[in-house]
Amino acid sequence: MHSAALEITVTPTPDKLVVAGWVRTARAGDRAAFERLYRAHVGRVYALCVRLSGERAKASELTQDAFVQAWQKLSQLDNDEVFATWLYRLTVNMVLMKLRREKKWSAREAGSDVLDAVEPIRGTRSENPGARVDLERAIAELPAQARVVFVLHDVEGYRHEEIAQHMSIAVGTSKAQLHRARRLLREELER
Amino acid sequence: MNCNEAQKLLDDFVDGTATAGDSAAYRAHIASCAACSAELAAIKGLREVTTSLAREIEPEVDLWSEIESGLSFKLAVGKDESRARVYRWVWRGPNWSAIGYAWRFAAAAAVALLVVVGVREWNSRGSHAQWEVTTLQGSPVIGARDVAGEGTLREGEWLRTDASSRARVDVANIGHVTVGPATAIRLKGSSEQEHRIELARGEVSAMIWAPPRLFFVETPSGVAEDLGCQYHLAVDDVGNGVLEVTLGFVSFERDGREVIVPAGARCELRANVGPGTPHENAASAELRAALTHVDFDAAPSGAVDVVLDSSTKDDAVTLWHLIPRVDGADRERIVDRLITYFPLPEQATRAGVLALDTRMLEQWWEVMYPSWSHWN
Repeated sequence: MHSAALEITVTPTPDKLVVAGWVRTARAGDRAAFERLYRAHVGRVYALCVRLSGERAKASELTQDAFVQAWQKLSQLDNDEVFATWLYRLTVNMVLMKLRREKKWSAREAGSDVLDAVEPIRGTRSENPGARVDLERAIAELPAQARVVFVLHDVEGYRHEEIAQHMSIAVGTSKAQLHRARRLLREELER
Repeated sequence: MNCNEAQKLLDDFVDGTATAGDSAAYRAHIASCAACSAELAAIKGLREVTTSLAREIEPEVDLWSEIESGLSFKLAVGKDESRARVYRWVWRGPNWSAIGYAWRFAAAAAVALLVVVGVREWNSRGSHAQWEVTTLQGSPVIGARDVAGEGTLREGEWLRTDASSRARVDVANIGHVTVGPATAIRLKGSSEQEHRIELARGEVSAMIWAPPRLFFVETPSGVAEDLGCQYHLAVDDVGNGVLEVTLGFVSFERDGREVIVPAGARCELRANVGPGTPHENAASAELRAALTHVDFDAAPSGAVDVVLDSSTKDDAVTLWHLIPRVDGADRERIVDRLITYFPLPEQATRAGVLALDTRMLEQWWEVMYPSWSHWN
């Protein structure tokens, strides 16, 4: 797990038409064009991999695999202007598949499909749940399934229906895991 | 509304997915419940911090060089058996070479991750080095000289073992081959582009970590082409044999008749004919016998019936390979059976796979081997 401060960068987002041009050139086998795509998107892909996997070392491997896979699948991209969205979806699918293969979550961990199973929380709490870096650390320490649901829903903006489909779980399970994640995060950040 | 009910609504309320009625009831409850009101404030606070998280995080080291290694593999593939070639191909009858390219693409893509690792190793060490031979047992011979512990196999030279000898050959830094008893192999060529040996008789076990299509083994029944894997290849005195794969995929081809054997499967080899249909190691004796008829008999009457009667979901690799090997009603029966085991992906149609649409067959393969095709 990582607890060090994260190095945060903001890469200027290139114009979609520029990206589409790089995609076309890369599809023809131009590695320099693909490197430009990599430079423009690696921060976002790596952030996804860090948060979904909870491990920075693993995130580096996942990021590499995501870009290699993207290179191999470029011909399947119908609209070059939506490369970024396509790449992030591909990354999410790949990370989830890996986590599933590694049995990072199980039926037991998934818990109940109903929110009744989630205990209500009472107690003192602060107005501010904590700094961003603390939140990154706390996210990394969540149980795998709760972490993935939280990242996809609260960070990436996926709907529960989409998460359920991606993770092959019930919508109710997704909701329960989100509730669980939020509860655990609050507990962790309030310490 | 009581506190428990409010708890259940909390997330939906925060996320804006609660119904209007529920939202109104929730608001009414928190107006009079300090605990639930504080709970709501805490969740909103968490959401606020969450939405302020950076969208991008820079990796601690630049990953491009590692990624580019993986791309090198893809470009190498593109030079000879490219995706474009697969898609340009139009079925014109039982063209095993053509269907083979479909397999090659699917398999090569499927082991992409393995290849990335292999390419890293390959790039870092180079692929053009000597072929070192180490005696494992007995007295292997290179040409007319005893190996005597260790030796070097040069281009054109034969390495022979008797019934009580075994040797290990380090294949130019891209892997190694264990040479079994009563075996004769010859180094036919070794370059950055390919490494090629001939297996005249006996058995070898190969472990290759180089990019696919770099290591070849010629036999009397065809050529084994490494796709990033571990496998065992045996040839008897008349040139028949068997290929068994334990990791990754191996292509085996003769005169356009080609198969891809995945890990856990094997394939009979027939001298001067080529490979039979691959089957799982655990396939029933009835299925294997029926395949022999389909593959090597001129008129395999009733063999497809036996295949269908004796096959299960685990025999997908066999059924898939049989699709272009049979035609008419038999092909339809094979396809329909396979559909019951593995539904066609959205992009594929029954008519398409019956017409041997390469892309659809590839996509179906990915359904059958999701753990491999995921990396495609």
